[in-house]
Amino acid sequence: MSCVYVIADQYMDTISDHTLAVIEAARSMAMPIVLLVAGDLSESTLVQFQTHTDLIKIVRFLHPTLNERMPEWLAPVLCEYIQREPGYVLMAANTYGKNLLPRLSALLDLEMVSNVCDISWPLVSHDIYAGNIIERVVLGDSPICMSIQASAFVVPPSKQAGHIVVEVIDALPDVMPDYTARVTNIPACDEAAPRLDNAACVIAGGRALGSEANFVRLGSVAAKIGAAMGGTRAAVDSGYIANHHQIGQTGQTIAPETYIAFGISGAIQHVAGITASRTIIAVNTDPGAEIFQVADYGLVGDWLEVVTALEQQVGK
Amino acid sequence: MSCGMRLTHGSGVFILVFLYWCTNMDVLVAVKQAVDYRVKVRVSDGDTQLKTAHVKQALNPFDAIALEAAVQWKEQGLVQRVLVATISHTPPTTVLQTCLAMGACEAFHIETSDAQLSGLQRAKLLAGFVQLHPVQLALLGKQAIDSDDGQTGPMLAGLLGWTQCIGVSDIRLEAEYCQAVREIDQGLQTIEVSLPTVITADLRLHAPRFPTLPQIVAAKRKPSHTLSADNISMLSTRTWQRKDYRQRVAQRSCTMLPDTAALMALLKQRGLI
Repeated sequence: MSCVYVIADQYMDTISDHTLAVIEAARSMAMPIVLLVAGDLSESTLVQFQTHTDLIKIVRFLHPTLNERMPEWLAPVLCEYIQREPGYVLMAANTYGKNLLPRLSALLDLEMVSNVCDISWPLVSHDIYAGNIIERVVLGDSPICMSIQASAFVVPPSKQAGHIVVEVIDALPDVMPDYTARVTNIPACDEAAPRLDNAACVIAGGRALGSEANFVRLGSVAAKIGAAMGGTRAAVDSGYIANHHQIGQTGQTIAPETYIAFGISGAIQHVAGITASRTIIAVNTDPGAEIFQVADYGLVGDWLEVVTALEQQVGK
Repeated sequence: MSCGMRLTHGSGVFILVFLYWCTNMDVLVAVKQAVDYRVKVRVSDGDTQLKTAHVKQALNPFDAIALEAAVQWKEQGLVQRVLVATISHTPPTTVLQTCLAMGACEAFHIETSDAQLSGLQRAKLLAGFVQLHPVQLALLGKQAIDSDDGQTGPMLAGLLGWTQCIGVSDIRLEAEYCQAVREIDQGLQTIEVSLPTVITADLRLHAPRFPTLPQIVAAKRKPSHTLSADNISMLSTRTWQRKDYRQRVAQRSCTMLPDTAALMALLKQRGLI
Protein backbone atom coordinates (compact mmCIF):
# COMPACT_ATOMS: atom_id res chain seq x y z
CA MET A 1 0.00 0.00 0.00
CA SER A 2 1.13 3.50 -0.81
CA CYS A 3 1.55 6.14 1.80
CA VAL A 4 0.83 9.87 1.81
CA TYR A 5 3.61 12.36 2.36
CA VAL A 6 2.44 15.68 3.79
CA ILE A 7 5.05 18.42 3.40
CA ALA A 8 4.71 20.77 6.38
CA ASP A 9 3.64 24.32 5.57
CA GLN A 10 6.45 26.37 7.07
CA TYR A 11 7.44 30.00 7.35
CA MET A 12 10.50 31.15 9.30
CA ASP A 13 10.77 28.88 12.35
CA THR A 14 7.14 27.79 12.60
CA ILE A 15 4.87 25.17 11.06
CA SER A 16 1.55 26.78 10.12
CA ASP A 17 -1.91 25.47 10.99
CA HIS A 18 -2.49 24.82 7.30
CA THR A 19 -0.43 21.67 7.86
CA LEU A 20 -3.23 20.30 10.10
CA ALA A 21 -5.78 20.91 7.33
CA VAL A 22 -3.56 19.12 4.79
CA ILE A 23 -3.21 16.16 7.20
CA GLU A 24 -7.02 16.15 7.47
CA ALA A 25 -7.22 16.00 3.66
CA ALA A 26 -4.67 13.17 3.62
CA ARG A 27 -6.69 11.25 6.24
CA SER A 28 -9.58 10.86 3.76
CA MET A 29 -7.24 8.80 1.56
CA ALA A 30 -7.02 6.06 4.22
CA MET A 31 -3.28 5.47 3.89
CA PRO A 32 -0.41 5.90 6.37
CA ILE A 33 0.59 9.58 6.62
CA VAL A 34 4.22 10.74 6.92
CA LEU A 35 4.96 14.39 7.75
CA LEU A 36 8.06 15.90 6.10
CA VAL A 37 9.58 18.93 7.84
CA ALA A 38 12.48 20.96 6.44
CA GLY A 39 15.18 23.02 8.07
CA ASP A 40 15.54 24.69 11.46
CA LEU A 41 12.46 25.47 13.45
CA SER A 42 11.40 26.17 17.00
CA GLU A 43 10.89 22.87 18.82
CA SER A 44 7.59 24.10 20.30
CA THR A 45 6.00 24.28 16.86
CA LEU A 46 6.69 20.57 16.36
CA VAL A 47 5.04 19.43 19.59
CA GLN A 48 1.43 19.22 18.36
CA PHE A 49 2.60 17.00 15.50
CA GLN A 50 4.70 14.68 17.66
CA THR A 51 1.49 13.49 19.33
CA HIS A 52 -0.83 13.75 16.29
CA THR A 53 -3.05 10.66 16.05
CA ASP A 54 -3.12 10.57 12.24
CA LEU A 55 0.64 10.45 11.61
CA ILE A 56 2.82 7.37 11.57
CA LYS A 57 6.14 9.20 11.24
CA ILE A 58 7.78 12.62 11.11
CA VAL A 59 10.90 13.07 8.98
CA ARG A 60 13.09 16.13 9.61
CA PHE A 61 15.56 17.27 6.96
CA LEU A 62 18.12 19.26 8.85
CA HIS A 63 20.96 20.21 6.51
CA PRO A 64 21.71 23.97 6.82
CA THR A 65 21.22 24.38 3.03
CA LEU A 66 17.52 23.81 3.62
CA ASN A 67 17.00 26.56 6.20
CA GLU A 68 15.91 29.11 3.58
CA ARG A 69 13.51 26.51 2.15
CA MET A 70 14.36 27.31 -1.46
CA PRO A 71 12.71 24.82 -3.83
CA GLU A 72 15.99 24.47 -5.76
CA TRP A 73 17.46 22.65 -2.72
CA LEU A 74 14.34 21.22 -1.08
CA ALA A 75 12.97 19.50 -4.19
CA PRO A 76 15.98 17.22 -4.88
CA VAL A 77 16.31 16.33 -1.17
CA LEU A 78 12.61 15.47 -0.77
CA CYS A 79 12.63 13.69 -4.14
CA GLU A 80 15.43 11.37 -3.10
CA TYR A 81 13.64 10.47 0.13
CA ILE A 82 10.20 9.94 -1.45
CA GLN A 83 11.61 7.80 -4.27
CA ARG A 84 12.75 5.21 -1.71
CA GLU A 85 9.09 4.43 -1.08
CA PRO A 86 6.92 6.25 -3.63
CA GLY A 87 3.61 7.70 -2.47
CA TYR A 88 1.20 10.59 -2.80
CA VAL A 89 2.57 14.04 -1.93
CA LEU A 90 0.36 16.75 -0.44
CA MET A 91 1.05 20.41 0.40
CA ALA A 92 -1.01 23.49 1.16
CA ALA A 93 -2.00 25.46 -1.97
CA ASN A 94 -0.41 28.72 -0.84
CA THR A 95 2.66 30.55 -2.13
CA TYR A 96 5.04 28.14 -0.35
CA GLY A 97 3.33 25.08 -1.85
CA LYS A 98 2.98 26.68 -5.28
CA ASN A 99 6.72 27.35 -5.33
CA LEU A 100 7.84 23.89 -4.21
CA LEU A 101 5.31 21.18 -5.08
CA PRO A 102 5.21 21.49 -8.92
CA ARG A 103 9.02 21.39 -9.01
CA LEU A 104 9.05 18.33 -6.77
CA SER A 105 6.35 16.61 -8.83
CA ALA A 106 8.41 17.14 -12.00
CA LEU A 107 11.48 15.60 -10.32
CA LEU A 108 9.36 12.66 -9.14
CA ASP A 109 7.76 12.43 -12.62
CA LEU A 110 4.32 12.51 -10.99
CA GLU A 111 1.25 14.32 -12.29
CA MET A 112 -0.20 17.04 -10.08
CA VAL A 113 -3.72 18.23 -9.27
CA SER A 114 -3.87 21.75 -7.83
CA ASN A 115 -6.26 23.59 -5.49
CA VAL A 116 -8.01 20.46 -4.21
CA CYS A 117 -11.18 21.29 -2.24
CA ASP A 118 -12.60 17.80 -1.60
CA ILE A 119 -11.35 14.21 -1.57
CA SER A 120 -13.84 11.32 -1.75
CA TRP A 121 -11.27 8.71 -2.65
CA PRO A 122 -10.54 8.11 -5.52
CA LEU A 123 -12.64 11.11 -6.63
CA VAL A 124 -10.87 14.43 -6.18
CA SER A 125 -12.52 17.86 -6.65
CA HIS A 126 -10.44 20.92 -7.41
CA ASP A 127 -11.05 24.53 -8.38
CA ILE A 128 -10.44 25.94 -11.85
CA TYR A 129 -11.53 29.24 -13.47
CA ALA A 130 -11.05 31.31 -10.32
CA GLY A 131 -13.06 28.83 -8.28
CA ASN A 132 -16.05 29.34 -10.56
CA ILE A 133 -15.89 25.75 -11.77
CA ILE A 134 -15.06 22.62 -9.80
CA GLU A 135 -13.43 19.90 -11.88
CA ARG A 136 -13.81 16.36 -10.55
CA VAL A 137 -11.13 13.86 -11.50
CA VAL A 138 -10.76 10.14 -10.81
CA LEU A 139 -7.26 9.13 -9.79
CA GLY A 140 -5.59 6.04 -11.20
CA ASP A 141 -3.34 3.55 -9.47
CA SER A 142 -0.16 5.58 -9.55
CA PRO A 143 0.47 8.28 -6.94
CA ILE A 144 0.18 11.98 -7.75
CA CYS A 145 0.95 15.30 -6.05
CA MET A 146 -1.91 17.45 -4.78
CA SER A 147 -1.99 21.01 -3.49
CA ILE A 148 -4.73 21.38 -0.90
CA GLN A 149 -6.94 24.38 -0.20
CA ALA A 150 -6.50 24.46 3.56
CA SER A 151 -9.71 26.48 4.06
CA ALA A 152 -11.79 23.64 2.55
CA PHE A 153 -10.79 21.05 5.17
CA VAL A 154 -12.09 21.51 8.70
CA VAL A 155 -9.68 20.34 11.39
CA PRO A 156 -11.35 18.46 14.30
CA PRO A 157 -10.47 19.87 17.72
CA SER A 158 -8.41 17.17 19.42
CA LYS A 159 -5.91 15.04 17.58
CA GLN A 160 -3.45 14.34 20.37
CA ALA A 161 -2.71 10.83 21.56
CA GLY A 162 0.38 8.74 20.86
CA HIS A 163 3.99 9.58 20.37
CA ILE A 164 5.27 9.74 16.80
CA VAL A 165 8.66 8.45 15.65
CA VAL A 166 10.91 11.26 14.40
CA GLU A 167 13.51 10.35 11.78
CA VAL A 168 16.30 12.87 11.21
CA ILE A 169 18.08 13.21 7.87
CA ASP A 170 20.98 15.61 8.04
CA ALA A 171 22.91 14.68 4.92
CA LEU A 172 22.26 15.91 1.38
CA PRO A 173 21.99 13.54 -1.58
CA ASP A 174 25.41 12.66 -3.09
CA VAL A 175 24.80 14.70 -6.21
CA MET A 176 23.37 18.17 -5.73
CA PRO A 177 22.89 20.78 -8.49
CA ASP A 178 25.61 23.39 -9.00
CA TYR A 179 23.38 26.45 -9.32
CA THR A 180 23.13 29.15 -6.68
CA ALA A 181 19.79 30.11 -5.17
CA ARG A 182 19.35 32.09 -1.98
CA VAL A 183 17.01 34.43 -0.16
CA THR A 184 18.45 37.93 0.27
CA ASN A 185 15.55 39.67 1.97
CA ILE A 186 12.49 38.44 3.81
CA PRO A 187 9.26 40.33 4.52
CA ALA A 188 9.02 42.18 7.80
CA CYS A 189 6.12 40.38 9.44
CA ASP A 190 3.90 41.78 12.16
CA GLU A 191 3.61 38.63 14.28
CA ALA A 192 0.93 40.09 16.55
CA ALA A 193 -1.49 41.20 13.81
CA PRO A 194 -4.32 38.80 12.97
CA ARG A 195 -3.56 36.92 9.76
CA LEU A 196 -5.85 36.64 6.75
CA ASP A 197 -5.61 32.88 6.62
CA ASN A 198 -6.68 32.16 10.20
CA ALA A 199 -8.50 35.20 11.62
CA ALA A 200 -12.11 34.66 12.78
CA CYS A 201 -13.09 37.96 11.18
CA VAL A 202 -11.70 39.62 8.06
CA ILE A 203 -12.46 43.20 7.02
CA ALA A 204 -11.59 44.14 3.44
CA GLY A 205 -11.77 47.23 1.27
CA GLY A 206 -11.91 47.90 -2.44
CA ARG A 207 -10.60 50.71 -4.61
CA ALA A 208 -13.72 52.71 -3.68
CA LEU A 209 -12.05 53.53 -0.35
CA GLY A 210 -9.93 55.92 -2.38
CA SER A 211 -6.70 56.26 -0.41
CA GLU A 212 -4.05 54.54 1.67
CA ALA A 213 -5.07 56.74 4.62
CA ASN A 214 -8.59 55.33 4.46
CA PHE A 215 -7.20 51.78 4.52
CA VAL A 216 -5.13 52.70 7.56
CA ARG A 217 -8.29 54.06 9.19
CA LEU A 218 -10.25 50.88 8.38
CA GLY A 219 -7.24 48.84 9.53
CA SER A 220 -7.22 50.44 12.97
CA VAL A 221 -10.91 49.60 13.42
CA ALA A 222 -10.13 46.03 12.29
CA ALA A 223 -7.31 45.80 14.83
CA LYS A 224 -9.68 46.94 17.63
CA ILE A 225 -12.09 44.09 16.96
CA GLY A 226 -9.37 41.51 16.32
CA ALA A 227 -10.04 41.27 12.59
CA ALA A 228 -7.46 40.74 9.85
CA MET A 229 -7.30 43.36 7.11
CA GLY A 230 -7.65 42.51 3.42
CA GLY A 231 -8.03 44.22 0.07
CA THR A 232 -8.96 43.60 -3.53
CA ARG A 233 -6.44 43.41 -6.34
CA ALA A 234 -7.53 46.90 -7.48
CA ALA A 235 -6.83 48.30 -4.01
CA VAL A 236 -3.39 46.64 -3.92
CA ASP A 237 -2.57 47.82 -7.45
CA SER A 238 -3.55 51.35 -6.44
CA GLY A 239 -1.01 51.17 -3.61
CA TYR A 240 -3.62 51.49 -0.85
CA ILE A 241 -2.56 48.28 0.90
CA ALA A 242 0.39 45.84 0.68
CA ASN A 243 0.28 42.84 -1.66
CA HIS A 244 0.12 40.20 1.04
CA HIS A 245 -3.31 41.50 2.07
CA GLN A 246 -4.77 40.66 -1.34
CA ILE A 247 -7.77 38.30 -1.31
CA GLY A 248 -8.90 36.44 -4.44
CA GLN A 249 -7.80 34.35 -7.39
CA THR A 250 -4.28 35.71 -7.39
CA GLY A 251 -4.10 36.49 -3.68
CA GLN A 252 -5.18 34.46 -0.67
CA THR A 253 -8.22 32.29 -0.13
CA ILE A 254 -9.89 32.93 3.21
CA ALA A 255 -12.50 31.15 5.31
CA PRO A 256 -13.31 33.33 8.33
CA GLU A 257 -16.47 33.18 10.47
CA THR A 258 -17.31 36.71 9.35
CA TYR A 259 -16.15 38.56 6.27
CA ILE A 260 -17.04 42.25 5.89
CA ALA A 261 -16.54 43.88 2.47
CA PHE A 262 -16.42 47.67 2.18
CA GLY A 263 -16.70 49.28 -1.26
CA ILE A 264 -16.04 45.96 -3.06
CA SER A 265 -17.95 45.41 -6.31
CA GLY A 266 -17.69 41.60 -6.27
CA ALA A 267 -15.62 40.71 -9.35
CA ILE A 268 -15.38 36.91 -9.76
CA GLN A 269 -11.61 37.10 -9.20
CA HIS A 270 -12.22 38.52 -5.70
CA VAL A 271 -15.23 36.34 -4.90
CA ALA A 272 -13.01 33.30 -5.65
CA GLY A 273 -11.15 34.02 -2.41
CA ILE A 274 -14.13 34.55 -0.08
CA THR A 275 -16.74 31.88 -0.90
CA ALA A 276 -15.66 29.65 1.98
CA SER A 277 -16.46 32.42 4.51
CA ARG A 278 -19.22 31.42 6.97
CA THR A 279 -21.04 34.78 6.86
CA ILE A 280 -20.45 37.52 4.29
CA ILE A 281 -21.51 41.09 5.01
CA ALA A 282 -21.24 43.67 2.22
CA VAL A 283 -21.43 47.47 2.30
CA ASN A 284 -21.60 49.23 -1.06
CA THR A 285 -23.22 52.41 -2.40
CA ASP A 286 -24.32 50.61 -5.57
CA PRO A 287 -27.46 48.49 -4.94
CA GLY A 288 -26.67 46.53 -8.14
CA ALA A 289 -23.14 45.56 -7.01
CA GLU A 290 -22.46 41.85 -7.60
CA ILE A 291 -21.07 41.46 -4.10
CA PHE A 292 -24.67 41.47 -2.77
CA GLN A 293 -25.40 38.30 -4.75
CA VAL A 294 -22.80 36.37 -2.77
CA ALA A 295 -23.44 38.05 0.60
CA ASP A 296 -25.61 36.97 3.52
CA TYR A 297 -26.20 40.54 4.69
CA GLY A 298 -26.03 43.72 2.63
CA LEU A 299 -26.18 47.41 3.35
CA VAL A 300 -26.52 49.95 0.57
CA GLY A 301 -24.53 52.83 1.95
CA ASP A 302 -21.24 54.65 2.23
CA TRP A 303 -18.37 52.75 3.87
CA LEU A 304 -17.36 55.98 5.64
CA GLU A 305 -20.63 56.20 7.51
CA VAL A 306 -20.30 52.61 8.72
CA VAL A 307 -16.67 53.04 9.74
CA THR A 308 -17.53 56.23 11.63
CA ALA A 309 -20.25 54.32 13.48
CA LEU A 310 -17.78 51.48 14.18
CA GLU A 311 -15.25 53.95 15.54
CA GLN A 312 -17.89 55.29 17.91
CA GLN A 313 -18.54 51.74 19.12
CA VAL A 314 -14.96 50.63 19.66
CA GLY A 315 -13.19 53.98 20.17
CA LYS A 316 -10.77 55.53 17.72
CA MET B 1 52.52 49.57 -14.07
CA SER B 2 52.35 46.01 -15.33
CA CYS B 3 49.88 45.22 -12.61
CA GLY B 4 47.69 48.13 -13.72
CA MET B 5 47.86 46.94 -17.34
CA ARG B 6 46.86 43.45 -16.36
CA LEU B 7 43.88 44.82 -14.49
CA THR B 8 42.81 46.95 -17.46
CA HIS B 9 43.30 44.01 -19.75
CA GLY B 10 41.30 41.82 -17.41
CA SER B 11 38.34 44.19 -17.14
CA GLY B 12 38.39 44.65 -20.94
CA VAL B 13 37.99 40.92 -21.37
CA PHE B 14 35.22 40.96 -18.80
CA ILE B 15 33.36 43.73 -20.67
CA LEU B 16 33.76 41.84 -23.95
CA VAL B 17 32.47 38.65 -22.38
CA PHE B 18 29.58 40.63 -20.87
CA LEU B 19 28.71 42.20 -24.24
CA TYR B 20 28.95 38.80 -25.93
CA TRP B 21 26.70 37.35 -23.28
CA CYS B 22 24.20 40.21 -23.58
CA THR B 23 23.81 40.04 -27.31
CA ASN B 24 23.63 36.26 -27.41
CA MET B 25 21.06 35.56 -24.77
CA ASP B 26 17.76 34.31 -26.14
CA VAL B 27 14.57 34.14 -24.13
CA LEU B 28 11.61 31.80 -24.39
CA VAL B 29 8.21 33.16 -23.40
CA ALA B 30 5.67 30.35 -23.10
CA VAL B 31 2.11 31.58 -23.56
CA LYS B 32 -1.37 30.09 -23.43
CA GLN B 33 -4.64 31.02 -25.04
CA ALA B 34 -7.39 31.13 -22.42
CA VAL B 35 -10.98 32.25 -22.12
CA ASP B 36 -11.08 36.03 -21.71
CA TYR B 37 -10.94 36.97 -18.03
CA ARG B 38 -14.23 38.90 -18.25
CA VAL B 39 -16.20 35.81 -19.31
CA LYS B 40 -17.95 33.74 -16.66
CA VAL B 41 -17.47 30.17 -17.84
CA ARG B 42 -20.48 27.83 -17.61
CA VAL B 43 -20.88 24.05 -17.47
CA SER B 44 -23.02 22.33 -20.11
CA ASP B 45 -23.91 18.93 -21.61
CA GLY B 46 -24.68 17.03 -18.45
CA ASP B 47 -21.71 18.47 -16.56
CA THR B 48 -19.12 16.95 -18.88
CA GLN B 49 -18.24 20.03 -20.95
CA LEU B 50 -17.41 23.66 -20.42
CA LYS B 51 -19.08 26.21 -22.69
CA THR B 52 -15.93 27.58 -24.25
CA ALA B 53 -16.67 27.00 -27.96
CA HIS B 54 -17.98 30.42 -28.96
CA VAL B 55 -16.53 32.35 -26.06
CA LYS B 56 -13.95 35.11 -26.54
CA GLN B 57 -10.40 33.72 -26.24
CA ALA B 58 -7.39 35.83 -25.42
CA LEU B 59 -3.75 35.72 -24.42
CA ASN B 60 -3.59 34.66 -20.76
CA PRO B 61 -3.11 38.02 -18.95
CA PHE B 62 -0.18 36.78 -16.84
CA ASP B 63 1.62 35.58 -19.99
CA ALA B 64 1.20 39.04 -21.55
CA ILE B 65 3.02 40.46 -18.52
CA ALA B 66 5.83 37.89 -18.91
CA LEU B 67 6.17 38.80 -22.59
CA GLU B 68 6.29 42.50 -21.73
CA ALA B 69 9.26 41.82 -19.42
CA ALA B 70 11.12 39.93 -22.16
CA VAL B 71 10.43 42.60 -24.79
CA GLN B 72 11.65 45.36 -22.46
CA TRP B 73 14.92 43.45 -21.92
CA LYS B 74 15.29 43.15 -25.67
CA GLU B 75 14.73 46.90 -26.06
CA GLN B 76 17.35 47.53 -23.37
CA GLY B 77 19.83 45.31 -25.22
CA LEU B 78 19.97 42.78 -22.37
CA VAL B 79 18.69 39.93 -24.52
CA GLN B 80 18.95 39.25 -28.21
CA ARG B 81 15.89 37.34 -29.33
CA VAL B 82 12.50 36.74 -27.77
CA LEU B 83 10.98 33.42 -28.86
CA VAL B 84 7.36 32.76 -28.04
CA ALA B 85 5.78 29.31 -27.93
CA THR B 86 2.30 28.02 -27.27
CA ILE B 87 1.04 24.45 -26.89
CA SER B 88 -2.39 23.65 -28.29
CA HIS B 89 -4.48 21.08 -30.09
CA THR B 90 -6.19 23.59 -32.40
CA PRO B 91 -4.28 26.39 -34.15
CA PRO B 92 -3.88 29.36 -31.80
CA THR B 93 -5.94 31.88 -33.73
CA THR B 94 -4.58 35.25 -32.73
CA VAL B 95 -2.45 34.67 -29.67
CA LEU B 96 0.89 34.21 -31.43
CA GLN B 97 0.19 37.15 -33.77
CA THR B 98 -0.54 39.30 -30.70
CA CYS B 99 2.80 38.24 -29.19
CA LEU B 100 4.70 39.04 -32.39
CA ALA B 101 2.98 42.44 -32.56
CA MET B 102 4.00 43.10 -28.94
CA GLY B 103 7.64 42.57 -29.88
CA ALA B 104 8.44 38.83 -29.93
CA CYS B 105 10.87 37.88 -32.75
CA GLU B 106 9.73 34.39 -33.69
CA ALA B 107 6.69 32.28 -32.83
CA PHE B 108 6.22 28.52 -32.41
CA HIS B 109 2.97 26.60 -32.24
CA ILE B 110 3.56 23.22 -30.62
CA GLU B 111 0.73 21.12 -32.00
CA THR B 112 -0.61 18.28 -29.85
CA SER B 113 -2.97 15.44 -30.69
CA ASP B 114 -4.51 15.57 -27.21
CA ALA B 115 -6.82 18.53 -26.51
CA GLN B 116 -6.32 18.41 -22.75
CA LEU B 117 -2.76 18.25 -21.50
CA SER B 118 -1.74 18.14 -17.87
CA GLY B 119 0.73 20.63 -16.39
CA LEU B 120 3.48 17.98 -16.39
CA GLN B 121 2.89 17.14 -20.06
CA ARG B 122 3.07 20.85 -20.96
CA ALA B 123 6.25 21.31 -18.94
CA LYS B 124 7.85 18.29 -20.66
CA LEU B 125 7.04 19.73 -24.09
CA LEU B 126 8.54 23.10 -23.13
CA ALA B 127 11.64 21.38 -21.70
CA GLY B 128 11.96 19.48 -24.99
CA PHE B 129 11.59 22.76 -26.91
CA VAL B 130 14.43 24.32 -24.89
CA GLN B 131 16.68 21.40 -25.88
CA LEU B 132 15.95 22.17 -29.55
CA HIS B 133 16.14 25.97 -29.22
CA PRO B 134 18.63 26.76 -26.44
CA VAL B 135 17.67 29.79 -24.36
CA GLN B 136 19.05 31.10 -21.06
CA LEU B 137 15.77 32.33 -19.69
CA ALA B 138 12.20 31.04 -19.82
CA LEU B 139 9.38 33.38 -18.87
CA LEU B 140 5.74 32.47 -18.23
CA GLY B 141 2.74 33.91 -16.44
CA LYS B 142 2.53 32.71 -12.85
CA GLN B 143 -0.71 30.90 -13.70
CA ALA B 144 -3.16 30.49 -16.57
CA ILE B 145 -6.58 31.83 -15.67
CA ASP B 146 -8.35 28.68 -16.88
CA SER B 147 -6.57 25.84 -15.07
CA ASP B 148 -5.36 28.32 -12.42
CA ASP B 149 -2.73 25.86 -11.19
CA GLY B 150 0.63 27.59 -11.69
CA GLN B 151 2.29 24.22 -12.39
CA THR B 152 4.08 24.75 -15.68
CA GLY B 153 6.77 27.25 -14.57
CA PRO B 154 8.21 25.44 -11.54
CA MET B 155 7.84 22.05 -13.29
CA LEU B 156 9.82 23.35 -16.27
CA ALA B 157 12.54 24.61 -13.93
CA GLY B 158 12.67 21.21 -12.22
CA LEU B 159 12.87 19.28 -15.51
CA LEU B 160 15.64 21.53 -16.86
CA GLY B 161 17.54 21.64 -13.56
CA TRP B 162 17.34 25.44 -13.62
CA THR B 163 16.69 27.86 -10.78
CA GLN B 164 13.26 29.47 -10.52
CA CYS B 165 11.71 32.85 -9.70
CA ILE B 166 7.99 32.20 -9.16
CA GLY B 167 5.37 34.95 -8.91
CA VAL B 168 7.71 37.93 -9.30
CA SER B 169 6.65 41.57 -9.15
CA ASP B 170 10.13 42.99 -9.79
CA ILE B 171 13.25 41.56 -11.39
CA ARG B 172 16.78 42.72 -12.15
CA LEU B 173 18.81 40.82 -14.74
CA GLU B 174 22.60 40.69 -14.38
CA ALA B 175 25.26 38.83 -16.35
CA GLU B 176 25.40 35.69 -14.21
CA TYR B 177 22.34 35.91 -12.02
CA CYS B 178 19.06 37.66 -11.46
CA GLN B 179 17.52 39.24 -8.41
CA ALA B 180 13.76 38.85 -8.11
CA VAL B 181 11.11 40.12 -5.73
CA ARG B 182 8.46 37.47 -5.15
CA GLU B 183 4.96 38.14 -3.89
CA ILE B 184 4.41 35.61 -1.08
CA ASP B 185 1.63 35.34 1.50
CA GLN B 186 3.78 37.07 4.12
CA GLY B 187 4.82 40.02 1.93
CA LEU B 188 7.68 40.57 -0.50
CA GLN B 189 10.62 38.13 -0.56
CA THR B 190 13.81 38.94 -2.47
CA ILE B 191 15.82 36.08 -3.94
CA GLU B 192 19.00 35.84 -5.95
CA VAL B 193 19.48 32.93 -8.34
CA SER B 194 22.03 31.97 -10.98
CA LEU B 195 21.14 31.73 -14.67
CA PRO B 196 19.67 29.92 -16.50
CA THR B 197 16.38 30.42 -14.72
CA VAL B 198 12.60 30.17 -15.13
CA ILE B 199 10.67 33.33 -14.25
CA THR B 200 6.91 33.49 -13.74
CA ALA B 201 5.22 36.91 -13.76
CA ASP B 202 2.81 38.21 -11.15
CA LEU B 203 0.34 40.97 -11.92
CA ARG B 204 2.43 43.87 -10.73
CA LEU B 205 5.59 43.09 -12.73
CA HIS B 206 4.56 45.18 -15.77
CA ALA B 207 1.55 46.59 -17.58
CA PRO B 208 1.58 44.89 -21.00
CA ARG B 209 1.62 47.20 -24.02
CA PHE B 210 -1.09 47.45 -26.66
CA PRO B 211 0.44 46.88 -30.12
CA THR B 212 0.02 49.68 -32.65
CA LEU B 213 -1.49 49.07 -36.09
CA PRO B 214 1.93 49.17 -37.87
CA GLN B 215 3.23 46.63 -35.31
CA ILE B 216 0.25 44.36 -35.98
CA VAL B 217 0.92 44.58 -39.74
CA ALA B 218 4.67 43.99 -39.29
CA ALA B 219 3.94 40.94 -37.11
CA LYS B 220 2.54 39.12 -40.14
CA ARG B 221 6.00 39.17 -41.72
CA LYS B 222 7.77 37.72 -38.67
CA PRO B 223 8.69 34.00 -38.73
CA SER B 224 6.05 31.68 -37.32
CA HIS B 225 6.39 27.89 -37.16
CA THR B 226 4.31 24.87 -36.31
CA LEU B 227 6.01 21.93 -34.61
CA SER B 228 4.52 18.55 -33.87
CA ALA B 229 4.60 17.67 -30.20
CA ASP B 230 5.56 14.12 -31.17
CA ASN B 231 8.88 15.42 -32.47
CA ILE B 232 9.68 17.23 -29.23
CA SER B 233 9.05 14.98 -26.29
CA MET B 234 7.59 11.60 -25.54
CA LEU B 235 4.65 12.18 -23.25
CA SER B 236 3.63 9.73 -20.58
CA THR B 237 -0.09 9.11 -20.29
CA ARG B 238 -2.01 11.11 -17.73
CA THR B 239 -2.57 9.20 -14.52
CA TRP B 240 -5.99 10.67 -13.77
CA GLN B 241 -9.26 10.93 -15.69
CA ARG B 242 -11.73 13.81 -15.74
CA LYS B 243 -15.17 12.80 -14.46
CA ASP B 244 -17.20 15.98 -14.72
CA TYR B 245 -17.48 19.67 -13.92
CA ARG B 246 -19.61 21.41 -11.33
CA GLN B 247 -20.60 25.04 -11.30
CA ARG B 248 -19.72 26.54 -7.94
CA VAL B 249 -22.77 28.13 -6.43
CA ALA B 250 -21.46 31.24 -4.75
CA GLN B 251 -24.87 32.90 -4.60
CA ARG B 252 -26.48 33.38 -1.22
CA SER B 253 -29.80 34.89 -0.31
CA CYS B 254 -28.88 38.34 0.88
CA THR B 255 -30.79 40.01 3.71
CA MET B 256 -30.65 43.75 3.05
CA LEU B 257 -30.20 45.86 6.16
CA PRO B 258 -32.14 49.15 6.35
CA ASP B 259 -29.42 51.34 7.86
CA THR B 260 -26.06 51.55 9.61
CA ALA B 261 -27.72 51.06 13.01
CA ALA B 262 -29.06 47.69 11.87
CA LEU B 263 -25.54 46.66 10.78
CA MET B 264 -24.14 47.71 14.18
CA ALA B 265 -26.83 45.60 15.87
CA LEU B 266 -25.87 42.62 13.69
CA LEU B 267 -22.17 42.98 14.55
CA LYS B 268 -23.04 43.26 18.27
CA GLN B 269 -25.21 40.17 18.06
CA ARG B 270 -22.25 38.32 16.51
CA GLY B 271 -20.00 39.46 19.34
CA LEU B 272 -17.70 41.49 17.13
CA ILE B 273 -18.28 44.85 18.84
